[in-house]
Formats: sequence, C-alpha cells, structure tokens
Amino acid sequence: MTFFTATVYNIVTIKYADMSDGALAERALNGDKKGFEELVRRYQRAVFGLAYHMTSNVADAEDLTQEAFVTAYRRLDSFDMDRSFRNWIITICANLTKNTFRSRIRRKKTEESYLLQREIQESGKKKENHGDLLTALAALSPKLRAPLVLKHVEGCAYEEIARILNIGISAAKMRVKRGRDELVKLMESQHTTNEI
Amino acid sequence: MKRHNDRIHDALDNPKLSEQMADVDSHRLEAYRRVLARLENARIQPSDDLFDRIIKALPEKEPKHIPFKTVRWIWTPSESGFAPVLIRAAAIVLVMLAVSLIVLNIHMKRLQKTFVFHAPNAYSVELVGTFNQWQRGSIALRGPDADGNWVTTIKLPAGRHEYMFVVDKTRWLADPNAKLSRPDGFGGENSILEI
Repeated sequence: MTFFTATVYNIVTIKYADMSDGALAERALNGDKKGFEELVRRYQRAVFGLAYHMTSNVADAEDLTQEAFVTAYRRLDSFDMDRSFRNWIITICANLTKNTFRSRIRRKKTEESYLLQREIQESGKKKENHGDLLTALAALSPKLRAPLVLKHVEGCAYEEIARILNIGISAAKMRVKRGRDELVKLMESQHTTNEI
Repeated sequence: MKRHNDRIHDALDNPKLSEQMADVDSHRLEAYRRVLARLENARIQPSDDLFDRIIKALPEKEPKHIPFKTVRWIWTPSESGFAPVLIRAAAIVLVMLAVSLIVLNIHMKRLQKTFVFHAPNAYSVELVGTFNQWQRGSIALRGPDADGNWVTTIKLPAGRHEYMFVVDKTRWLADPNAKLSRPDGFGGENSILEI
C-alpha cells in the first residue's frame, strides 16, 4: 500500500527541479507560477552576483535582482525557449544595472563613497575578508567590471559575454583583458608586499 | 612587454596550454591567477529572504501570452534597456512611409505626351483640358510646320485626361486622332487620353 501511494505520489507530483529552463518557462506561461519559482531558485544567486559586483551595494543589488525577475516574468513570452534562461535573465540584469548607474551619477559623490565603503566593510565581515578586492573591483569602470565579473565570477564564455552586453566577441575579450590588468594593478598598489 | 602581457592572458584563457608556454612570465602569471582566484571565490550571498521577496513581487496576472510570433515581436519589449517598442513602431512607420512614397511616386510619375493638331491655316492653337482646368492661355502649340501641324509636348500624370484644342482663340475642337471621346454637354465632344 505504501509502495502504491509512493508510486502515485511520484507520478502526480511534478518534479520542477528536473525540468529544463524552457519547460519551466512554458509552464509559467500557461499559468503555473511554480515553474517560474524554480527559475528564480536556480538563477537568483547568479543575477545577484552580477548586480552586487556592478553596484557594490547589497540593497541595490537585491532590488535589481528582484526587478530583473519581475521584468523577466512580464516579458516571459519573448523568451526563446531554446536559449539559456540564465543568459537571458543576466542580460536583463545587465541592462537594468546600466540604468541604475545612470541614476546614480546624479547622487552626491560623498554619499556614494560612504555607502560603498560601508557595504564593502559589511560584506568583508560576513565571510572571508574580500574588502580589498571589492574596493579594487569597485574602482574599475563599469565597462570593464561587467565583462570581468561575467567571465570570472559567473564563468561565462566570451561569446556569452558578447551576447549579454551586446558587444562584439573581440571587444568582450579586450575588456576582460583590460579589466584583469587594471584589477591586478590596483591590488598590487594596495599591497606593498607580494602577498595579494 | 605587450607580447608578454598577451601571453599571460592567453595562458589564463587556456589553462591546459599554459604549461606548454615557455615564454610566459610565470611570476606575473601567478600574480594574475591569485587575484582572479580570489575574485572567483568572492561571491557575496544575498539575504535569505530574497527568494520570497522576488516571488511576492511577481505580478498576480499571468505573463502575457501572445499567440502569433509576428504580433509578439511587435508588442513584446526585448530585454534591451532602451524602448524597443518605440524603436520598432518607428521602424514600422518608416517602412510604411517608404512604401507609400514609392506607390505615390509611381502613381504621380509624370509622363511626356506630345499633342499634334493639323491646322495649316490657323494663326494660333492652344491645348485645354482637365490637366489645366480648361483654362486657355497656359499651353500654346507651336506651328504650323511644313506639314501644317501644330505641336506641343507636356508632362502629365498617369490616368485619364479629357482635352480639346482651341483654334484661333475661338473655335473649340476635338482631336481627330484621339482614340476615345465623350460628349462635353455643350453639343461637342471632349477627346480622351489614357496614360
């Protein structure tokens, strides 16, 4: 009896975790919100990771992550089921980040600097101390930071970076290269010893 | 210097090949690797309630499902930061405008047409018709030539035109060579030209 119940349960229960991104998006489009919930569960960390490294601010990054998923949900019909949902949602996030930078420019520089330092200190305390690295990363221009984070934090290929940022592959390679050079240079200037 | 730097990036992009690269500055490469390894591990975790906040923020209404791909393309904004709907709308308007101009151009294309009237003894011949609102004095024919013909060439838009010749400023006469004609309502006939 228990075996029978378990079998029926397995047949009836939808295993969202085993489904492809396309199948989950299709379910969400047909009114099954849980399909989209699984997509959020899968990619919220990746989206947050990019948003955080681009804004250097946890609150802004979480707001951007939320906004990216809400935007994706509203525009789910335009998602090509054969493409990677991860790249799609990261593209949405990258574009939202650009808008955030535009509005941030209007803020006072002192407030910006204070918030940045506070966030870096707080995040540094949480786990390993990455304060120096995050300070150096935050000092890079967004143009170099975005491809660098996509390459070395999100593990994207150059083709994916090019598609996400809407630039050519050679431009993606060049920006990653310049980003690495500047990051290493900044880290070295922070540390007088060889211990990076 | 530049070449050495490029080799470091080549080694970073191809870790398997890097061991075979004899000309790479191993000290610099190691420095790059250390920084990038730290970057790869510097993943900041979001708040525990982020997932719940995202789900709560999703609109109650189901995502819009537009059945046809073309309609979907027009109405659904893409993920780009700009306003793609407006860009697409502008593109559609431009295409429609271009098509209208082409159609209008074809329709309004003016064609040259030569009118000949035989009147060896006349001292003036004029052309009047729907294209000049039957007003005299605007199109005079030149002549007579050795054969007694009066000639003029004018540009007319494609379509149907009615016309007559005014000889010696008083006599309104139809074109004897016209293929078509119709009664003018004054007992005479208007010649018809279709181009």
